[in-house]
Amino acid sequence: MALGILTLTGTGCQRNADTLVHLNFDVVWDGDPYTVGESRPDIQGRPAQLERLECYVSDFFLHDVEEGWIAIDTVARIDFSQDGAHALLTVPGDGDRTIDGLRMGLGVPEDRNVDVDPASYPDPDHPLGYTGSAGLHWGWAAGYIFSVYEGRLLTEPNIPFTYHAGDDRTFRTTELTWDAPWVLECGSVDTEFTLVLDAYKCLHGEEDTIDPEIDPETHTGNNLPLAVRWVDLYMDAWSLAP
Amino acid sequence: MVRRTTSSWLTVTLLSVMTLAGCDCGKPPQVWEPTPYALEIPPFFPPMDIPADNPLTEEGVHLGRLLFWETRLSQDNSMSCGTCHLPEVSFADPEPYSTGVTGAVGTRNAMALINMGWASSFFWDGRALTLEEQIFDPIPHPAEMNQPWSEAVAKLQADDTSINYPQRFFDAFGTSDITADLVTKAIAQFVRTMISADSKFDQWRRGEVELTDSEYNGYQMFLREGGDPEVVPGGQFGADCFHCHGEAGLQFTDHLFHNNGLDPSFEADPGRVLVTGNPLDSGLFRTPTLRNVALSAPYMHDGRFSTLEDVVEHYNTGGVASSTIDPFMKYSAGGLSLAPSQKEDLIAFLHTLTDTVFIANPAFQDPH
Repeated sequence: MALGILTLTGTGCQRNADTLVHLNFDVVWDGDPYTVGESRPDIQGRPAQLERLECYVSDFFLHDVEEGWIAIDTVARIDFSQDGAHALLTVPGDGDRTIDGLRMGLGVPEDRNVDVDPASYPDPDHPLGYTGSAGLHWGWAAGYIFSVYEGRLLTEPNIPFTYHAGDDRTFRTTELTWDAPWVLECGSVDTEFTLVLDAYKCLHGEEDTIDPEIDPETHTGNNLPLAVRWVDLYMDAWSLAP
Repeated sequence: MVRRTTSSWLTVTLLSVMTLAGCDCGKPPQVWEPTPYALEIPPFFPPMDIPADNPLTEEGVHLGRLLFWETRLSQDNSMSCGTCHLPEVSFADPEPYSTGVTGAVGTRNAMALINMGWASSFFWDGRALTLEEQIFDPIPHPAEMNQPWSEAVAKLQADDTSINYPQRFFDAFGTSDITADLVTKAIAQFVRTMISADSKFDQWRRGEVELTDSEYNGYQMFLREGGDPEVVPGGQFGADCFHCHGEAGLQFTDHLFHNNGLDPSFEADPGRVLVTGNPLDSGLFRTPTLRNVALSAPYMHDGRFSTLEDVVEHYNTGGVASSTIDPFMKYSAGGLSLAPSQKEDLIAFLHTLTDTVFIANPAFQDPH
């Protein structure tokens, strides 16, 4: 009986399963480990306490050094107050890939946002479904809340702040690169890396600072300029864990 | 449009041949063949997430209704679930606190039972994650029905009335051996059928009726950010209700927990923190639905407000500052500062959420 011989070429393979990449999410404050609910000094030294930090991420791309940007259709809800905040990317193609970059949409893509009723999702637990989007939806025709950054300055009296970004004008894309390219093996299922959001940088960037005492609140529709300032800081607050 | 939920469990003809306890060997064995319950999901409502191990059946729902109104579940046979969840007040209790069979008084207001099939947690502090889990609590609770489950089950098992509970349980679950687990499952099935979707607002959403100018103005205020923009950045002179009482899925709740500024400290009732242990959850309580809110007074977890006017006034003045007060509350800016006519409009809108068809539905009333 002849034995079948499977020949693998340098970039081809027989796929037994989807190629999966696990994205973990972590939050830091000015580069230091942080847990939502802790108090840390803001740029003026005032104690700032985050109480709710959640977001939608979507429209992922991995950059293949040979093929360019590879689109991956995923929407995930990330709650930084919960352990194990996580998104799963299913990477198309039948060959190994050499990856050196990542693009990630910050929010819900336009075609899935306005005029989409969460109740219309057959699976209520889908991140955009009725249960899955609880607390991150404006109303049946008004779209999703892309990001929620809530807390207070623990001054006397305390000063609450609320930054809610959530219409198509506040959708942003962040692009991150690895120091060195790495190989994503075809059919692998346990590749993982960690994306880090620096919550401090969401208020304090190189070109702008939001002072919660002066600009405490935006829900986008009622204060678009502040929402835009906030998402631009938020967009630059992401990094890849080494 | 009417959507129907189905379960793969129900697509299979489920036959189980079982004998009742105390087999009468001269009779053929009973065949268990439950009838799937066709749950109608109203337009614009989300799918209902029904546990796979407790699909709705005609027999289970009917048994649940019998049990919901069954006074033998209480120690002295005087109270049923319906004693504190009265239909005329949207299956809530008109008293701030319910009184149990021993005369002991509870510590929180009985929540309205309305569209509970879409809730993701139960009780004011969310300590139960399923309806079945929630229903376990009141029967043995010393301030409520005060009867150990073992005794409640024994009463049902020994039932010699025309109801014949052992037979009813067989019809619903394929066994006449009654357990607490099956009692809760049956009641949960019944409660999941208690759907309100015929308020004036529902009818307006379906294009069947018009709202009055006052009701519509109130609805628009419901959806707008609160506060005078001169005082509250981004304020839109609205009532800012939608953040927590979200209209997605037409349930008017975000299913989350908030501190809406009732008290400066939380010794009287720490709320959600008792479940999570997280200090940030001190003083937080579950957002109740606004459906039938005009019928379900008194309001808040402790029933401190007796009228909708009281509630609106609470938000209008911003509430009391505390360490965990929700940022949505305008406490530091003096509240919403609504004019009297705006408050009237808002209350007019809240009345459009009243569904008298629901509370009068014969299928939910006491069958005993």
